[in-house]
Amino acid sequence: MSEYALEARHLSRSFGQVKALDDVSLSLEAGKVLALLGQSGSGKSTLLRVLAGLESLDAGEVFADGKLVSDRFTTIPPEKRPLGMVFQDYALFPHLTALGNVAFGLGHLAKSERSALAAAWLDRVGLGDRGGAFPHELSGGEQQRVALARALAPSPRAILMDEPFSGLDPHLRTDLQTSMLATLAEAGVAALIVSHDTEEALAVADQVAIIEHGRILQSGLPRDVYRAPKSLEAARALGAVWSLDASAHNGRVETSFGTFASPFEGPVTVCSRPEATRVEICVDGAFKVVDRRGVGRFLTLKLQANSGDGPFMTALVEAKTAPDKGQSVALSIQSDDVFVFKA
Amino acid sequence: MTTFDPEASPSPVRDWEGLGRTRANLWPIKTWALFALLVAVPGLPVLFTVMAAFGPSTSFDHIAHVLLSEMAITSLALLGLATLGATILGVIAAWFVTAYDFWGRSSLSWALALPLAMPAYVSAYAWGDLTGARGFWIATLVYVTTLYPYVYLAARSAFEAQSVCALEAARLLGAGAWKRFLTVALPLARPAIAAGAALTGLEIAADYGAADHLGVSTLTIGVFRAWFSMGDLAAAARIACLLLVGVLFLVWLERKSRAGLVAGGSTRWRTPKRAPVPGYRQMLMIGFCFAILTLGLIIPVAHLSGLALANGLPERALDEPLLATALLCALGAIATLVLAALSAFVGQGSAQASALVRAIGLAGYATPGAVTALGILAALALSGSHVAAALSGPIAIIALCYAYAARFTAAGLEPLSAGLEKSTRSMRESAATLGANRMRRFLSLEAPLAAPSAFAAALIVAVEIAKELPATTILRPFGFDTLAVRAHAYAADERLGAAAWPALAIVLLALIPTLLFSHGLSKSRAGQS
Repeated sequence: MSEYALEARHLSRSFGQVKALDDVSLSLEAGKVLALLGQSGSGKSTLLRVLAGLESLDAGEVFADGKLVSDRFTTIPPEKRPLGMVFQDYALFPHLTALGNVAFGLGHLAKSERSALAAAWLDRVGLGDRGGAFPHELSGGEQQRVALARALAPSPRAILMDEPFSGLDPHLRTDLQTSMLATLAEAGVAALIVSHDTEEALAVADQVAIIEHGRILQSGLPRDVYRAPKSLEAARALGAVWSLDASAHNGRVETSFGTFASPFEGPVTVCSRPEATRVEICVDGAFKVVDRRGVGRFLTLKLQANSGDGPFMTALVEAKTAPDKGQSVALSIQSDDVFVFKA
Repeated sequence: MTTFDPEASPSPVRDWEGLGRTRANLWPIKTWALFALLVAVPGLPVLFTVMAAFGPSTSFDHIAHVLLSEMAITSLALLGLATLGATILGVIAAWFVTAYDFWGRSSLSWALALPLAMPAYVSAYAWGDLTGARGFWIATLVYVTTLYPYVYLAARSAFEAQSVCALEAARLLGAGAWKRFLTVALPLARPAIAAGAALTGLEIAADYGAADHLGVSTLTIGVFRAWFSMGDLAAAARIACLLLVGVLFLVWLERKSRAGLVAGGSTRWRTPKRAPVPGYRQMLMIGFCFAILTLGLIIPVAHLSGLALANGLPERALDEPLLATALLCALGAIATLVLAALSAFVGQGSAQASALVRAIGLAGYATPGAVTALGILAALALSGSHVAAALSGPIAIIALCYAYAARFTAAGLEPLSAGLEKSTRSMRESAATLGANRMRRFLSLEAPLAAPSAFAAALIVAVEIAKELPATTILRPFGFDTLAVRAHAYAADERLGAAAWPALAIVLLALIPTLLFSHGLSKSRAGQS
């Protein structure tokens, strides 16, 4: 077995004029969960389909379990790849029961073995008693778990999941995410999860990769990407940010809330996250609270320079000590919470 | 529950080792070959007809001089008048059953489609005998009353699919019932009505039996006379070309009537409240709907049944034509469904491919049966064999199956592709990632899901073949009579009592799918599942 369940090197794929994938490389370690984050149209679904063998490549190579399965000349068909896939609409077969669905990928086994194994997998996702139900008799959450069991039953090296939780109620999601992670860990199967939901990705992933316009902007541990984004887009992908334009000289950029080191010279973009932005009520502060939103423990403040022009900034503050609308405040941000990018 | 634990004994892994083999993508080439085949089947007979038209003809000058202008004018007038009549009846009936609530509405709603089972020629036997009339006007009556269901069904589903919001908005803007119908419902349903009217026109253009029996000389009759009476293939082909021009014009008209229209209505559906109707107007509506149903189906069936009972079974037993019909239905349906399945698979590729295979199928359907059959004759003549001799054996059966496949692929394609769409793209891809190859995906996913639709398609196509008269008359082997051919032969001899038996057999046969689908259709409407 290879160290990587799935490896993609320099993948490119265009549809007419549109570059859906542009020199994309990523690797999925055995047994790990990688979340692929991107807006709709970013190329994440194309990437998934290329990896699964449902789409061909213009350039690059895909290795599954160390073997070449796609390059620009060859696409090994999906049925011959050691990969499972969970589709966004689950794609359960309507004419088969839950058990029949899970057993579908076990055609290489004897019949008795097949149904025993399928039943065991249903049991494992907590649906041991629903084997005889047809897809239309199952709830959305149950359908999702059947789809997961079906994809995992043939023991693939990795499974690919396209927005696996998008069709579910928010309160169901968390439960299913937890049970899915448990099932994956138990099975020791690597998973690539495509999502546009940051919170979901951070909740389930060992690693994240951010894709935009067909390019991987950044990949790595979620914590690292969160703390040290390489671009404004990468910073945005992992949570809310505010930003303002500034100018850097001699490796430093001066702002009304402090001076920060800058790796760039000339025009730059300074940005930070609302939760890292500290606010203090201060009569001669340089900023004013323009708006105050939210209920509960935390409030979101919208801030602007006292002069009344310039960009808005946001801060997440405790409700108890929050300033009122119209009050003047001073900002303090720790230097490692401030990101400076080339404008 | 079993004690089998996947953790303790992991499932034997599928054989990933066989991955090494590589295979180039040959798919695009194959698709083009399939398209060529799909175009060739309905296209070649037309091509051969056109080629035959350039051959030497002994009698065409005479026909052109004496008959051609009369045939062309009669055809055009019949086509225009009968299509208009069928459209008016169909649209009014459809509006009544969708917009108003009256006694017997739901039964009438599906019963009004039943004259679809009545071939125009069968109705012509009954009306011809009943009135003793022949000629243009009785033919118009026959066409209008048997063909209005094409418009009725199209208009009904269009009215039912219309957003209630549009109609209610019109109501709030102060439009009365008539104004709502004329300014909102009718324009929104125009594309569907045009499509239904075009089908009606195509049926009239292709009709041989009714026109022949009622003595109206249309272009289709001209094709038959040139071939059967004068044995002049080139003259027949030239008249057929004229008929084709007319059909092309009809199709162009239908396309044009759709131009500039977007799909109507919002996506928010609600079952429209059918307006209750006061007594005397209720009688009017019931009377109207019942009257057209009576003219189209009840009177012809009742009259023919009376004649059949009075006459007793014809002396020549009906088992041979029954067998011949069954044989042609079975073989023809198989040929047609193979072609339709091929079209459906090719059409799955993309939206353009789907539109293209539909257009090809419709082109085959639009070509009158007489023209398709003549094209096949011309091809046989070109191959050097003596036409009459070539049509004696299995070649004739093959030629007939070819003609049926060319004409009725569109009828089979519709339900078949609906059936194939029941296995969605993600289901098929899901099956692939679960290790199922193309064959297994078809056998265990697509086929079982499409089976009911395939059965429906087979039924529809078989009934179309059983009703078919012109191509069967031209191409059948000598002495090989189907029910339709036998009925027409009896009717031509004015032995209506004997003709009634096979004619009624065809109607009964055709009633099966008509009842099945009309009933099902009237129960399903947008927004209700």
